[in-house]
Amino acid sequence: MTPTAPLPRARRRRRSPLPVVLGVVALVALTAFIAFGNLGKSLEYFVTPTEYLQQRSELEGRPLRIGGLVKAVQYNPQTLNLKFDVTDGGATFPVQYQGAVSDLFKENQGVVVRGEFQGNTFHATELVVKHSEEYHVPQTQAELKDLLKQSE
Amino acid sequence: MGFDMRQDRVTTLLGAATLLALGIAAVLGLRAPLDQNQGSLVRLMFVHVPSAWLSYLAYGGTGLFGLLYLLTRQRRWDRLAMSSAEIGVLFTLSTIVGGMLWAKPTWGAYWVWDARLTTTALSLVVYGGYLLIRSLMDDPERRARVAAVIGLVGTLYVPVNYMAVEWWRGVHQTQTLRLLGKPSFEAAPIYGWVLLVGTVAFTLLYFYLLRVRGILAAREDAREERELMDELNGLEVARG
Repeated sequence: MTPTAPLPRARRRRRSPLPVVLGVVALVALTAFIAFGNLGKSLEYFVTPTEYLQQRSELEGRPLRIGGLVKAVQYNPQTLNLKFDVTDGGATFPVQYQGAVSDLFKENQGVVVRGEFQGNTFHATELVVKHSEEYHVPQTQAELKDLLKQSE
Repeated sequence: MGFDMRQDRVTTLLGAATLLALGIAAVLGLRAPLDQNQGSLVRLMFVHVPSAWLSYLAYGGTGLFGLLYLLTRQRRWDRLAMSSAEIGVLFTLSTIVGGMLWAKPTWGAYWVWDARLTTTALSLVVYGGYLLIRSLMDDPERRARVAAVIGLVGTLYVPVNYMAVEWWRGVHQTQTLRLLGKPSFEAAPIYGWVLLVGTVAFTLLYFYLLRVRGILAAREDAREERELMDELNGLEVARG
């Protein structure tokens, strides 16, 4: 190997920060678009009965989730056959469900059901109970007794 | 070097304070009266909420320490950012597990893909990716720089996850402690005190874990450097 003159010092590359800045801006914009744009709609977990009424032509016959308050519960603990109405005040639909439900399921409780409309009745295959963000200690003796009875 | 964690005053004191606070929180939590609707299930909240708080704190820490690294180029900020991300992932998992145990008896399902739960799961992808990318890069400076940027962008997760219950309809209940708009607390005051003590305890736990993990990371760094130097010296010797 012949001795060669030492190589000149490598030039330090000064990379432009522009691509990085643009990338970060693009990511932030994309997140904002997902959060506030039309895509946000597909992140909604369920439709309300009123929305279903308005968009019936689009949604009819498709599997969907409906969320609202529980009214007029008819539950047969022997056959696990459950019938109730789901409402948001504006519209009400009867729901049919077969199976056990959470202990929190009762009148006026929030509920999200997944299934399909057959005619005017919603046939649910999945039922999830929503509970409120409020937590309270029983105030009266009677409430306390109820609670103890339940937990037994 | 030769830094012994057992002889480090700050670590010991922080650990003792954490243990004490966790103990008080546990006693308060177990003595708290039952909830009107959920009975003793409400106690899961005393673990679930502080856990989620700790994960936010840790992800916020990863962003902050990453920023400090970019500004000062001191490796210790990078080590703290990495430690914080690991703690964040750990407590996101604990939030998810506790939440699932709470969801089954109340909602009737372990998991639903609503906005809050989905974004929480996404944080595991973001910070799992953060840790994975770190493990794939050998050059410490480059690793620290790339990680700092991911950590900074990842911090977006915290407000999105926090606001998910407000922005999109889901199954997860909205905030009990409302900070936006008119502040309010929609629960019995005793639950508020338990949550406050729990949150303080978990905050101390974060700083304790961060310190211990940071010291470990510093040792790992020192060893890596020493091995590199040994290797280089070996090469010198071999060349004569």
